[in-house]
Amino acid sequence: MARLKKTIRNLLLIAVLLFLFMKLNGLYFSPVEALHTSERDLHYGPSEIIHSFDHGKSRYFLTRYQDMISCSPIDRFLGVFWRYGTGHGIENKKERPLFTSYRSKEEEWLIYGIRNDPSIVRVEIEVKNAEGETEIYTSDTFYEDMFYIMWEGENDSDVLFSEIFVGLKAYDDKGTVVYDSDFPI
Amino acid sequence: MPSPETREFSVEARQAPSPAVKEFIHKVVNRVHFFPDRHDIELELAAHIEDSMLFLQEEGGLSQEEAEKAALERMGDAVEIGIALNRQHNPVLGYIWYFSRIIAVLLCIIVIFQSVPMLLVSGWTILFDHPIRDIPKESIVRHVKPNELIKLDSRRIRITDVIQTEDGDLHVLYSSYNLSFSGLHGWSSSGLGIFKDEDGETYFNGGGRSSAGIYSRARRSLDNFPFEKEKLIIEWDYAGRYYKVEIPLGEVVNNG
Repeated sequence: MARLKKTIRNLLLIAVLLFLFMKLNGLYFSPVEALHTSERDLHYGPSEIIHSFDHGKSRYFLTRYQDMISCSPIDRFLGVFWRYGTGHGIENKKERPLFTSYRSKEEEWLIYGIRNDPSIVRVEIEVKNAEGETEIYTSDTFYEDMFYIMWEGENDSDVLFSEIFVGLKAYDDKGTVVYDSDFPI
Repeated sequence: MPSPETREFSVEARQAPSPAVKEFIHKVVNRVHFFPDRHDIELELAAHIEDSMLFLQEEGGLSQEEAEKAALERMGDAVEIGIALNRQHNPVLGYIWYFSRIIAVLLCIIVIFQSVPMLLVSGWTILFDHPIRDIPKESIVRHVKPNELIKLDSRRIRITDVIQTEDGDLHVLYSSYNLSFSGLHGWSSSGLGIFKDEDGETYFNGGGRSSAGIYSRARRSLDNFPFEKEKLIIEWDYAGRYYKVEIPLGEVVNNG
């Protein structure tokens, strides 16, 4: 009986300490909770999750809130937790047929955005790799007009997106270029 | 029967058990599936058998070998004792208790290690670090205490002082904390919004500082705020959040 009481006391203590540990480290049991909490703390959202996908130890959320879009990674931590992320958006410039933004993390580059011109069916980004060779990545998958392209490449703090970016093109279903930009975002 | 609780035995005062006693004890503890209790059970059984042997030697006049044999016979069947002890030392509850103790201690160490610096910083801020001390008293030409509370999501901001100094700088002093405890892990917005005067002129240039921790105090200083302006307006209008605070600045005194 004494052991049962001690076990209950230990479990209650663990619950309190776990709560503090999670608060101290910005951890959540659910990635959506982590995303929306980080948004709220940055006075943004809660955004509408359009699509989510896993890559490495992170779950990325393509989201929309008012006229803003975002693609925030929420990282897995210690197997069961999800770590507080960067839940913030950028305003969609609707005058552009295609509006994009980017982010990088470790060896990964991510470009994401939204098509304001519904005729766009394919997006193509041209970038330089570590050897200076040009590589092309494409996406023809849209989630309520939002899309993303992810690739691995040279990515340390010295490399700017503008240094690897060559061009961005968007095509309609006939293969006609609808949007062509050599300006990084 | 030994209880699940730890007991202390004066092991040094007792002799090492004979092979027969060891074998008996081994048979008993083999039936106990909660391993961490096995050692205590071994010690208690050994003590019990030895006490019994001493009693038989002293009261019954038996030799050591006879006393040992009789003591083991009195103990009964080792397997049955082991099964009974296994019920008493429930392995499910035992392991939950055992690992919960380890986890609680580890979590306690981690939480103390992580929270103490945070608490010290917040304590320092509350007790000693008021940004009003950055401003020399003799340079103050206007000072109002709006005590305005702003609620922005789970963040609470209290504008405590607005001070203008003779060089024209306007200092907005405020404290803030977050009900979601996001300050605990160092991520939270620290901005206050856009600063305007009553004519809609905006002010961006300046500096400031903010303390870290659960509870922070901050100073936002605006360069060259005109002395003739009577009101400071602080406005936040972004991502569906809006607030507007109008602070009358009062008369300029001791200017120049």
